[in-house]
Amino acid sequence: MSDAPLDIRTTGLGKRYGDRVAVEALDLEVTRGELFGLLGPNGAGKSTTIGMLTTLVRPDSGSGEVAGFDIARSRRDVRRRIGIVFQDPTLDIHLTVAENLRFHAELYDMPRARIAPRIDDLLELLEVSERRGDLVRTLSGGLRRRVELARALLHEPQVLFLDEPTLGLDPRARATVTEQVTRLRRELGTTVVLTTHYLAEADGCDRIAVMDQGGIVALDTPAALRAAHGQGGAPAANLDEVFLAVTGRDLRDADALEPALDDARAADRNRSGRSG
Amino acid sequence: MSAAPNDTRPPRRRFERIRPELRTVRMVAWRELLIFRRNPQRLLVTLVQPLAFLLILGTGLQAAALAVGGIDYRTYIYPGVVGMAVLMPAFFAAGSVVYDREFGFLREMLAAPVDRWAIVLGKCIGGATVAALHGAVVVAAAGLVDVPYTAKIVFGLLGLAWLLGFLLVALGLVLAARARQFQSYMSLVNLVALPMLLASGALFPLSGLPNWLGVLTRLDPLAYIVDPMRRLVFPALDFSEPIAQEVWLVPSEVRVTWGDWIVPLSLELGIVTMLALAAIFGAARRFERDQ
Repeated sequence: MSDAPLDIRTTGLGKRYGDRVAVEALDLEVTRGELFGLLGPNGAGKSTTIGMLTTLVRPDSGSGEVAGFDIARSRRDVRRRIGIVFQDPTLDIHLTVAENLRFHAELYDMPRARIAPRIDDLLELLEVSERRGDLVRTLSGGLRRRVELARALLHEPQVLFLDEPTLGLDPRARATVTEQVTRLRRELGTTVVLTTHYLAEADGCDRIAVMDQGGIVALDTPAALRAAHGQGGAPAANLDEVFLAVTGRDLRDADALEPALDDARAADRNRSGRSG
Repeated sequence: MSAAPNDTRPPRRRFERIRPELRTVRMVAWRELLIFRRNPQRLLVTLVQPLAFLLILGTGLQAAALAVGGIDYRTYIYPGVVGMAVLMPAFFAAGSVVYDREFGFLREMLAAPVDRWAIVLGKCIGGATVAALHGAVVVAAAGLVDVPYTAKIVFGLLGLAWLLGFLLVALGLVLAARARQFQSYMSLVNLVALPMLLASGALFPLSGLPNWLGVLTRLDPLAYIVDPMRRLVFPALDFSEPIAQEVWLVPSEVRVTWGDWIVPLSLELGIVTMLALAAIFGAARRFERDQ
């Protein structure tokens, strides 16, 4: 793994909103093909980090490269090479599944002859082929997520960003999406960065960065994190305990403690409520 | 990404560089038309108001105008009613971007590796086409108010309706770019739409106005598109009665003037086009700051 090229590298990356530091001095390296998790409560800076790496949020300090291009100076080059599944739904519910994908393909300037077969392949891969002609409005939340995954992969991105990909889904749909992310990554070899506060999702990652209050407080494989942060010499039973050990707070309670920026922004984007 | 072998791309560099933008323009415009095609009943709802103006207000005032002798008032306001039919659909088309934001699709567009102007231009072209289709229904009704169906009038009015729609979608997008809720956008639109329509002089002659209204009219961009519409329609009006000339003024004097100078058609269309492009630039900048 050590000689594999880096798909993400940041140095001292930071972002503040007014007086509030969202992300501070972030140093991060993600290797090609890695499934990398950002774990932490709402407001820890996960979404802002993803925002900066996907060129949607301009960093105030530090620098970063994604897929070999500078995230501040070569935004378009970065954008061409990444796929994003946002925390909130971003499909056009008035278009069909296939039309949503077609729209994406054109905006990402895919060679025309490749569009139709690629759409077929991805709908097949994500097991939504039979719904391709249906309006997105008629799809369940879980199916919509899978369509968003298909769309994010359409233009063959080098790095795939998933911001809370299972947020708002019921447990069964959540399991399906998690299973599919793992499978996609195995079959396509895409580098995947995902944020989550579900432990089961984080446990499937190659490495996890535990984030709290805008910074990384621990970074290692899930097994190593558990081994290092157990109590009384025994390894931690789960990542919840790891989080408790490194921050002194419970992961689930931390949400309530942090009047979160992510929350405020999500609420703003989300005023009309999640559909599905 | 590797190009497929049958993807023959022209070698022209400049075109190459903005090809993603051109594809975006086409796709965004196509989406507007697709969504319109799925809800054609919108056409009926938004046409009630202009048709009420033409047939109810027009006929009512026609009865009054007859008392002073003269022309068919419905024919007189007909060009303005074509503009009116375009007005709300164009502002609605621009407002759809607020829904795009609410339901998240705007993020998908803004995250793509294309310049913002392409998204804005696509909205304008798609929205203008939808708005012009509303105008086309009024154009089709020309016979009701004795406007003949000549190619010049029909295609001229359709083209001007499209250009008006293009301008209004662009202006609407400047307002909609920062709006978080459709209601707040629509209250802004309601604030400007009716005064804009009335000040364009769609319903009355432009000469002989009190100073303040004369100035307002000439500042109203709609005046420069309603006027060319009148140039097309007014030859069909009968101004032969002397009383008509006195009350409504002869067609040649119903031009937009700056001082004594009659603004030529090319300048009128130039003003509208430049303003639309400026609005597209402004709206694109407002979306840019958004992220």
